Amino acid sequence: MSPSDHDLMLRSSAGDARAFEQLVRRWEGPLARVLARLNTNGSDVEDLCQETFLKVLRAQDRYRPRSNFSTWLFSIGLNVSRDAARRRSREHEHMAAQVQPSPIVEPPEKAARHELAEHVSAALGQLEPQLREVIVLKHFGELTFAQLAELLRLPESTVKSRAQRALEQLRSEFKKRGIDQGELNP
Amino acid sequence: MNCADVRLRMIEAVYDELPTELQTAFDKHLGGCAECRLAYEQLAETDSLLDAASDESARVDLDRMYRAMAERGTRSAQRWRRLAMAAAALLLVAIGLAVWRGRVQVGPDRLVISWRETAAPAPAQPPSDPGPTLADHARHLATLDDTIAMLVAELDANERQRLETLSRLHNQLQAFELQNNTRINLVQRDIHDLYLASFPSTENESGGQP
Repeated sequence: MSPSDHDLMLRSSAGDARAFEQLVRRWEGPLARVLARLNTNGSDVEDLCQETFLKVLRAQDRYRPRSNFSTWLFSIGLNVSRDAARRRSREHEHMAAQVQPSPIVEPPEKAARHELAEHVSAALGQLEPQLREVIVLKHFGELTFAQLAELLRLPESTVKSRAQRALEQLRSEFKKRGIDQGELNP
Repeated sequence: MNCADVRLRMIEAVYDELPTELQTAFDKHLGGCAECRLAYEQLAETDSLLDAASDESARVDLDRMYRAMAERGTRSAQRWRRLAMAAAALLLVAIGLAVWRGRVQVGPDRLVISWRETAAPAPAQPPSDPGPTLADHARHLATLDDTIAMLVAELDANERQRLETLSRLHNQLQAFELQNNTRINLVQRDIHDLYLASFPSTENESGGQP
């Protein structure tokens, strides 16, 4: 049986580098998926992952297993992503036009999967940040609504209504782009 | 469950977070209400479309991370040292001002620096306020001395703590390096074995030198 995240964190804070490596390898994939969807302004996902785990390493002495490790990790990742977004918006305020999603293009019948992925990313980029954070952490981070409420420090009912609004807005965006379920299983 | 209840709990149903008994009631309602069923299916479909987003991956460079951590530790120690030096300099200036009893006069053609004791004429009557005495100065100096000693002790403790962190990081880095070397050796051995398996005749001809 593989050790729990909590055990690995404890061993890591006691100086066990292999435990930390195991933790990183276990979570770098899920974290990258979440950060890639949270971050729609072009920051490098690998750099964001690196920064997140560096913060985990620096904070490991203060780690308390009050909640799931994933909730703690994603909350650090969310802060890293928000900081990166702020930095980039300061740097590129005058280039705002460049980060606008691509104009609406009707995908061809047999659209390549990467093209569909681009449309999905662009649709996510259209959401307000607070809706995007909820739906990305829910769908890609696979957190429960209770964990999301804890992470975002919001009432659970607010988190649920934001998730529903996010899906409704995404649906309307997908519709504008001519994407439907058939695209997934052509 | 009526339509309003179903709409309220729909997002939980999409993510399989409805308690079992509510899920049963939810399904029962959908079975008889086409409008709610359509709303639910649209929401669930939108969620499944998100899976089409490209699958990002990332490989965290632990070696780089440990180096960054060590560099931050060093920078922090240097910042503390600079702060300590600035504090010490300020204290010295404060001591100087406390001890200084001179007077500076700038004239049109000369600069006069003199001690107050020598410049001030001896009063005919005993002064009502004799000013700080040597004992007062000694007391001030002793207090300042204690403060400096406390600051130095605190800085030493901080420095010790940082050195311990750096040493722990160094050990982690060494463990990581050792692990990497072991892996490299294993890979090299695998490549060698693979080569021998692929070109057994070359091995014989070249006398075992691939």
